[in-house]
Amino acid sequence: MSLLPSPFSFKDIRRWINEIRWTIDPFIASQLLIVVSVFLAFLIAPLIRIVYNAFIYQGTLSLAWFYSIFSDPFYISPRISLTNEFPYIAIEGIKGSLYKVITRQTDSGIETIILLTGYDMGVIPNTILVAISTTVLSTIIGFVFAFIFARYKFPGAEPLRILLLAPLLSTPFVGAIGLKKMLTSTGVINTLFYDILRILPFKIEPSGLMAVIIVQTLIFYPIVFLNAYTSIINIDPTMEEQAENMGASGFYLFRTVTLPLSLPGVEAGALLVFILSLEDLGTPIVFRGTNAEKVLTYQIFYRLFTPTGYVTGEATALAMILLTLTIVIFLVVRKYVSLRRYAMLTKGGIWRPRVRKLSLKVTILVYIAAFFTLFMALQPHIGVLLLAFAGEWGPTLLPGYFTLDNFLVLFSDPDVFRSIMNSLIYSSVATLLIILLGVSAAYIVSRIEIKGIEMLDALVTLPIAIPGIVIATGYFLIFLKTPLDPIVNGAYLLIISYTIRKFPFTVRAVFSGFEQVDKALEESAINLGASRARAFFTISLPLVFLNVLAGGMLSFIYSMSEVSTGIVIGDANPYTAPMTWKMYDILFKGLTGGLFVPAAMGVILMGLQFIMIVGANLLLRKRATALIGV
Amino acid sequence: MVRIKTVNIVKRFGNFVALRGVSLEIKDGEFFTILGPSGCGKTTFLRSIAGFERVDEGKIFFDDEDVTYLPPHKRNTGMVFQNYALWPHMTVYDNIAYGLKVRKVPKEEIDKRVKEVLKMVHLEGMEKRTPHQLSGGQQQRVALARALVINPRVLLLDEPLSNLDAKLRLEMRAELKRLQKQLGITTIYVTHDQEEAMSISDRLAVMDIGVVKQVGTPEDIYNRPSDAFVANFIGQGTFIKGNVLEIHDDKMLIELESGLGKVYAVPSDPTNAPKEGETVLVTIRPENFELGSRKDMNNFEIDVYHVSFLGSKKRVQAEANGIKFLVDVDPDAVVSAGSRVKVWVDPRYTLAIRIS
Amino acid sequence: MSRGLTKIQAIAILAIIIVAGIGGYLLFSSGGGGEVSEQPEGVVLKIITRHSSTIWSLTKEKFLQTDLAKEYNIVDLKFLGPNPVLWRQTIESTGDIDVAWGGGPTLFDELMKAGLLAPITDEETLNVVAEIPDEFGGAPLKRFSNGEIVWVASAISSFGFIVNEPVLEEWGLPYPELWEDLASPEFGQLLPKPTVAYSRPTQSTSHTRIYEIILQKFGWERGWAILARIAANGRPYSGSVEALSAVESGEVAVSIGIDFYGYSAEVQFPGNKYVLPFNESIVNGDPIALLKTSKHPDAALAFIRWVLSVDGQKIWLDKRVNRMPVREDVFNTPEGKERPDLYNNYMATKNNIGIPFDDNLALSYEYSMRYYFDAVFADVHEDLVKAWSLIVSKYLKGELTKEEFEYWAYELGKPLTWEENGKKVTFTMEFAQQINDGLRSGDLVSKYQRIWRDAAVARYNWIVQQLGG
Repeated sequence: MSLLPSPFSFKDIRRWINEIRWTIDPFIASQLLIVVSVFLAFLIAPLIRIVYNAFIYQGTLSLAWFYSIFSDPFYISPRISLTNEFPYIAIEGIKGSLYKVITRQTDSGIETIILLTGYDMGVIPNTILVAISTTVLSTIIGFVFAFIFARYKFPGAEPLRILLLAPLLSTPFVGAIGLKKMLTSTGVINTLFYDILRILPFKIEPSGLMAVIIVQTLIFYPIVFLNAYTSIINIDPTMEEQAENMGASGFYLFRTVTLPLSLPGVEAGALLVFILSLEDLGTPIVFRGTNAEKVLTYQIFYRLFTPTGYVTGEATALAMILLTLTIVIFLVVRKYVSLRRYAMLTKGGIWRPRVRKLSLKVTILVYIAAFFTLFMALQPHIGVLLLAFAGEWGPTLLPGYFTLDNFLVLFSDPDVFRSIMNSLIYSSVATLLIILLGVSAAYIVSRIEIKGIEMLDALVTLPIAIPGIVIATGYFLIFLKTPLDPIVNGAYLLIISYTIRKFPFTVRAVFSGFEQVDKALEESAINLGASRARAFFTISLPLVFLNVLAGGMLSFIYSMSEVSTGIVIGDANPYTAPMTWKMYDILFKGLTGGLFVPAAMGVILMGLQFIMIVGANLLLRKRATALIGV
Repeated sequence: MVRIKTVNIVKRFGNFVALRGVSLEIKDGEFFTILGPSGCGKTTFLRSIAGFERVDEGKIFFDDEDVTYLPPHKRNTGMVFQNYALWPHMTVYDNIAYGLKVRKVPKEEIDKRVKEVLKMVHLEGMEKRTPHQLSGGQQQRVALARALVINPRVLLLDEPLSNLDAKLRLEMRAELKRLQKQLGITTIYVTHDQEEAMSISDRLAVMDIGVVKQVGTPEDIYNRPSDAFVANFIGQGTFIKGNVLEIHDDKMLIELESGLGKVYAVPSDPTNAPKEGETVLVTIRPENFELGSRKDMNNFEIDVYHVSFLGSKKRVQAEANGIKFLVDVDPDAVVSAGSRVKVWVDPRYTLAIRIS
Repeated sequence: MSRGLTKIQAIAILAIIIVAGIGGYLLFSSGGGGEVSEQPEGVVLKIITRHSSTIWSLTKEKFLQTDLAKEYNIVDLKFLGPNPVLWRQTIESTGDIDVAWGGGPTLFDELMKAGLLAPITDEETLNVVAEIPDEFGGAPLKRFSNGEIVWVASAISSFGFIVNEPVLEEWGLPYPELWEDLASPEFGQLLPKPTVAYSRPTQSTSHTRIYEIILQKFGWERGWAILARIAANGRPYSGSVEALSAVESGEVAVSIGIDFYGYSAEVQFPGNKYVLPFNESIVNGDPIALLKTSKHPDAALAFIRWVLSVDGQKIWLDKRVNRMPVREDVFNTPEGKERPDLYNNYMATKNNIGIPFDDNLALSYEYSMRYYFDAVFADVHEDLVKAWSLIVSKYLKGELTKEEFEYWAYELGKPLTWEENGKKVTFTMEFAQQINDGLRSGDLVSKYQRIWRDAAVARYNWIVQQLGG
């Protein structure tokens, strides 16, 4: 599907303009204008500025930054050279190792710890490899479970399936905080498998890039799970029945018909996980101090400012590289992420699903696998919960003692309290803006059918592909010394950032809604004399009200947990900073680095998220599963 | 090519009973149609033969083989679904070749047979197309080709023509019939369109609410509906309830409702003839009426409210005492709306059906 | 389809309007960190600071109650704590900040250079300033510009390291007393397990200070050699707090750090002890200053006077703060008498013969030092450790003599040499000073960090190769 309208001759252009004049009345035009202006000013402009700056070195247009970055072993370390003997290439410069073995003398004897560190091939390859690893692992876990739950019936399947979606309740940042404690050599995982169950002869401690991969996988797999599940249950059963009729069965049937037909959902989920991994800043931050820092998001964040507070050219160039990666992937996945495709998928399963019962043996296996995954997947939540109620927690399995003090701090410490209030205000205002703009955008894309409307579709779903750190960089480049200056008052840009970044959630929900409202309903109103605007407010809008509400709730909660721009802008002006910044602040800069208070804040976020997601589900009932989907 | 026999099959979906003891025998090489309104169980029956629905009670035989518990992929039936179920991720060639690949047929033979069957359905040269590049009619033919190429024991067709436009439907109908005769393959065809059923079937079964109401040739069913439902469902006519007063040999005297008087009628289904005193449905086909009145025939006087000129005949819609009459007359007969006319019908074409 | 809204819809719309209303009101009335909401009834002082939020609340609590505050009609104190990198921009952009408080002499000297500090000329304030000694432990407590005072220290810090005694003992390490002890091979015998925590200088001004102390105490060349070994013995963390947490939790045995971190650790994590390396530390005065952008200079000066008074100095005695006051007489107060431990530390600090430390010298190469350290010790830490652990293990196994060990240890850390435009360049102090200003623009930073990383890795690999590792 091409992005651009394809009129080539003048006649075509004239015809196109006439078409526009016929279809777009002032009402639609004004909506269109506002939405496009907002996106141009606050999404496209910063990006263009980044691209522009990245090509400037010391005042002149040049590729210097890219040349320097791509030849710098810090950013890309493997060096490939040709040799004379098989296999004719030698690769050097790969640092680190998959793991390191450490032995420790303890009271109970010698303890072997396998420290998973991961290879370090420089910032850029690391970023890509982490994303690939996370995507592969998430896809395997997600697809296997999706298939099992879509196709097999066994007791407890439904609640188990919902539980496996638990990680959707935590954001990368909060989740990583929770996981970090649980994954250490004295944490729950090792204690369970090494000390208690004695399954493994050694302890495993993930650190650095490996830890990032594990954490990301645990948090993102539900995305693949959900998408694959929807895709599989939407497969027309006659496709498989026909194949069976042709004599196929078992694995052959799966491989030739079921798998190819479920791929679109799997692909969509996988590619989204890939993008999310690329743009994740929160997890590398939690594991910083190790080679986890050597990923693009962290480096941009670390090298963002010169000593005098201006954005460095290096950070800009890195931002552009990251942007290129995410946009390329986005273009591939755009097919699946576009509004129209999304609405189709969310029509819901109309078929009677082909489900089979599982034999007892296999059921038990499934349960074991699911519980193991669930156990791992719930660690972030358990970790956060334990930390939030902990008074003290040394290198032991459980906290030293429990207390409610951490929650009291949320109210007693004026800075913490204010940051929470800030987040609530910004998210609410942003959600309002999102609803206003999103309803307009959804309405236009749904109802107007002229060439070029796909561009609007692409524009409003584009934020999915833009890493928050890149947007933050762009904002600092453009808006310093303007009335929106983040150093003076971060509120404005934060609200705008949330509005743009969390736009897609509401737009999709509302778009689905409009698609399901028969055009004829509006047309009969217009036929009876109502203007388009009137028909919109009295007929269309009330009919999609629930969608608006549900989508808005999601945008709200994801705004509350937004990390990337919140941290950067928050750093510039802590007074107006959101709660995610405060969590980061306490984690790394508060005296005696509390993990506890940020965890308490994390619990609040998780709780809010839970309420919102359940609420959105109840509002939309069966159409909602795909809503959280992506 | 097989003979198919079902013995008293019952199929339930939860509390809903879709098939209530269906016993049918379909002859080898026969074009057999299951006809009925939606929800009558015809598709369920077809899917049971295919093996996608496991019957709760009863047996299914292909010739002498009991296939009741045989899984669908082992039954070697060739099914064409209502939506064609063409695999979007495969070309026409791959779609058709699929069943042969499963049967591990060597490549050269696959090539040969696919080409043959494409020729049979007049789709030569379309091998490399994908389903979404085909028109509705072409898709339908690919689905058919796919089912035929594997030389199935029986061909199962689930309303395959319902998605085509009228003209195409007629053409395909003829095409299907021709192919079937040429290959001599036992075929079970499911449809709700009675005109279609009548035109292509060797025999057909009329079903309603999970039960077979009547089995027979199209003529049998048309001329001698055994059942009020069948009479109503097949063809059109004038239906009047009545009471059997007397029975003489093969003729009966019936008192019609609504004061339409007495008529002489014959039982529609002699094996299930109405008895004295029973309520019956008197059924008269439109073409059996004549204008005017005649002694020893059944005479009526009706008020015409609409006349349609249909080229080869005029169809008169009239009513008498609140009962609707449908009468076909010669195209040049003089009848007009608003007039009152006399019509008569031979008792031999006045059918009496028991109302159970 | 009926027109109009259902009850749910109406309620929801109402809720949204209420939220929008509240949000808008709060947003635009409190005005974030920007506008000063100046009510005619009172003055709100805006203070930019690097002190912790605990200090903010303590200060607000105590100061706003005083007669002084009432006299000048000061009704609220608003604290801003942005990233020090952004202080200058923040002060300039916001345009109405009154006081700068806490952040170390380096930061304040930068502000002074940028012309943002207002000299204190008010007599009453000068009288209070006179009660503060001019210097302490060798460090200046007042900064003059053109003969006028531009900042005064309101607290004192020293620099040393924090030892986790139980862990130290468990790991069998000798008790460190001087900086060089942290660079010893004994502290490297557990490698690849790090024993020392330190922060990247780019993420901690206090640790930067410590590196500068080492460079000035041991001289440029030897200083870098020692820094290399400490860096190799330990692990770079992202901030002084992280390094502190590491030693408190027993992840490492020692962390370098500023004194009040050490004191807090002693209070909250018994077993940890702050060590002031004898004759090897310096004292820093932590300044307070009046900003040129102040809209209420009189009130601001009143606040400054209070901070420098005995009353204000009591804040440092709080158990959550633990800072050295700048006035000894605060220890004569009842609250002062409750902190004999702090008094002991105070006296120890006073009597510690610090090294002669030149603030201007440190400033002259500050950026170069930070980015160099970052690049050659932190960015390529693995390679550094590889080389050093080889040296250490060979030495401890007896495969290297003491001279050989000293030789290789020096090779490890001495300033790097590389080629630029065909010429050999060494990271001498002069070179560092030359590029220091240029490094502020960021472009040069990435250029040089890259050069230094590559040169460092080449050297470390060369060492490994030479030692047959």
